[in-house]
Amino acid sequence: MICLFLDTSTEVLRVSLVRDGKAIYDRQLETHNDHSSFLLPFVDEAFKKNNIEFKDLDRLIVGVGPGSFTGTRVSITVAKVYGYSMNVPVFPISSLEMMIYGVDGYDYYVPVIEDKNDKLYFSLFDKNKKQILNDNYTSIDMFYDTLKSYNGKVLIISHSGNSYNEYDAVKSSINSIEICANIENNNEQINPHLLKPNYIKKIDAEAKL
Amino acid sequence: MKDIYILAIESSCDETSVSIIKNGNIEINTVVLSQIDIHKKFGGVVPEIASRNHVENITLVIDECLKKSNMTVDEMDAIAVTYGPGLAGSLIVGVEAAKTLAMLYNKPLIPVHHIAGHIYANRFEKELQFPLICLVVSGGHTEIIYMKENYSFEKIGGTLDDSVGECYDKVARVLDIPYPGGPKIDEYAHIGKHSYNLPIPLDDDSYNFSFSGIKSAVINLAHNEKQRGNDINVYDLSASFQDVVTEILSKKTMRAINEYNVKQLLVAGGVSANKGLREKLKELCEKNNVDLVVPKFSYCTDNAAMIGAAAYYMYLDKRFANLDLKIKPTDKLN
Repeated sequence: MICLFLDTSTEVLRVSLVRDGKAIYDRQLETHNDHSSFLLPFVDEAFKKNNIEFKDLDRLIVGVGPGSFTGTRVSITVAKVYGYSMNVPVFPISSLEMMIYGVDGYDYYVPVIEDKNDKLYFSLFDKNKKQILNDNYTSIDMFYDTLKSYNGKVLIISHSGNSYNEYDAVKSSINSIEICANIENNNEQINPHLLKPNYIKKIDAEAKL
Repeated sequence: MKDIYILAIESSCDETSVSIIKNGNIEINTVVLSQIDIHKKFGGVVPEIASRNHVENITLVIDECLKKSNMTVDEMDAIAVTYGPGLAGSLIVGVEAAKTLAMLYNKPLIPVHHIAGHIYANRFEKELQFPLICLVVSGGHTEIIYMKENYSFEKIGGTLDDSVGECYDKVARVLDIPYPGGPKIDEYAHIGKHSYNLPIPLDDDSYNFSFSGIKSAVINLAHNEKQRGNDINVYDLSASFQDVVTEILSKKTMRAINEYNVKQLLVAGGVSANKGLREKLKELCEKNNVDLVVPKFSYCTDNAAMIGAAAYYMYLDKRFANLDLKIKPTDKLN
C-alpha cells in the first residue's frame, strides 16, 4: 500500500510518501507563501527517489482546510488532477483532524486553529478518534461553552501550543503515518471532480449580498 | 515534420479554459467555462470567488476538452499554461494543474504570458508578417507593441493610467450601464451619435495613452447635466465617448505603422471585440494599404486556444519551465 499525503493549508507545506506503514519520503517546509514552487518538485522527488511510478500510487490524502484559501487550493488542485488522470483514490482530511494523530490517552481530542480577533476553528473527537463535532468557526467564549458539555479528560491541540484555561494543551505535530493508517476513521473516498477546500468562512463580498 | 499537439490551460481571471492546439494554428477543441454570470451580481470580478470556481471546475474542463477531442494527455507534446499576468488566486489553479499534468505524463511545461496569448490569437486568422505592429487593448492593458520577429515584443507606448477596458467599465458604471459595461457602450454607440463635446485624450507626439481625463470628463458631464435637471442621452454619450477613445487609439497606432514601416497590424485583447474600434482601424488600414488582422470574436475574450498558439513557438525554441514554475501576477511582456 503506497499512500501520498499532501497539505498546503498552513504556513508549513507537507509532502509524505508512506509505504506499508513506513515513511519513505517526508518533507515539511515553511515556504513563506510560496507552496506552489515547492509542492510538485517535492512530490516528483518522492516518487523518483523511491523508483515508484506515479500510476502505482494506491491512495492520495489531501488537506482541505480550514486554513489559507489560496494555500489550500495549491494541493487540492494537484490532488484533483492526480486523482482524475491516474485514477487514484483520493481522500480529503481536515486540517483539524490532521492534528490529533500524534497524541493518546484522553477521552476527547480538541484540535484548534487560532484566527484573528479571539476567533478560532475547532473540532472534537472521542477517545477512539471518531469525529463527534463538525469543523466549525467560533468565538473563544462559545468554544469554552461547548467544551463544558463534555465530561472526561480533554486535550486541546494547536499549532501554537497556547494554554487554554484548565485544559491540558499541547502543540500539534502532524503524523503522516498515522494519518495514512486512520484516514477511513472519519473520511470517505471522494470523486476528484468534486474535491474542494472546506473554507468554512464566507467571502466578504458574498456575506454583503 | 511531425505534428505538434499542445494542451493549454488559461485561468488568469474569471474564465477556466482548456484547449488542444495542433501546430500552433489548428484548433482541435477549446472549452471555456465563463463565470461572468456569477460575477455580474457583484458588479465586477471578485477574485476569491473566481479562484473558488476555478478549483471546482478545473478537472471537469480538462476532461471535457480531452473527450471532445478524443485524445489523451499521453498524445500531447507539451502542456502550456498562463503564468501571468492576472489574479494570483486564479492563476495558481491553472499553473498547479498544468504542472501536475506535466509531471505525471513527463511532458515539457511551457509558461505563456497572457498578452503573448492574445497577440498569437491572430495566428488562427493569418500567418504573421514581420515586422508588425500590435495594438493590445483589454481590461488590464493598452499598449502598442513592435514585433521584429516571433516572440520579440518591444513596447513603444502604453497607458499612463487606466487601461482602455477599465475606462469603458468605469464610464459604464457612471451611466448606470450594467456589467460588463464595455460591450454595452459599444452597442449603444452604434445607436447614438457623437453630439457631446469631449476632449481627445493625450493627443500628443508620443505613443502613450491616458484615459483618466476622459473618464473624469464623462463623469463631470453626467453630473452637470443631472444638476441642471437635464436627461443624459446615454446612446449619444456612448457614441461621443467611443468616438474620441477609438480616434486616439487608431491615430497613434497608424502613426506607429508609418514610422516603423510595417505592413501588418494585429489587434489583441478583450477590447479588440469592440466594433467601433474595428471599423475605424479597418477604414484606415484599407486607405493606407496595411494588412489588418483581428481575432475572431470568440478569441477576443480569455481562452486557452491563444495560449496554445503562443506556446507553439516556445515549444520550437524549447523554452520550457520546471516544476517550480511560479505565477507572476504582474509580469511584463518582453
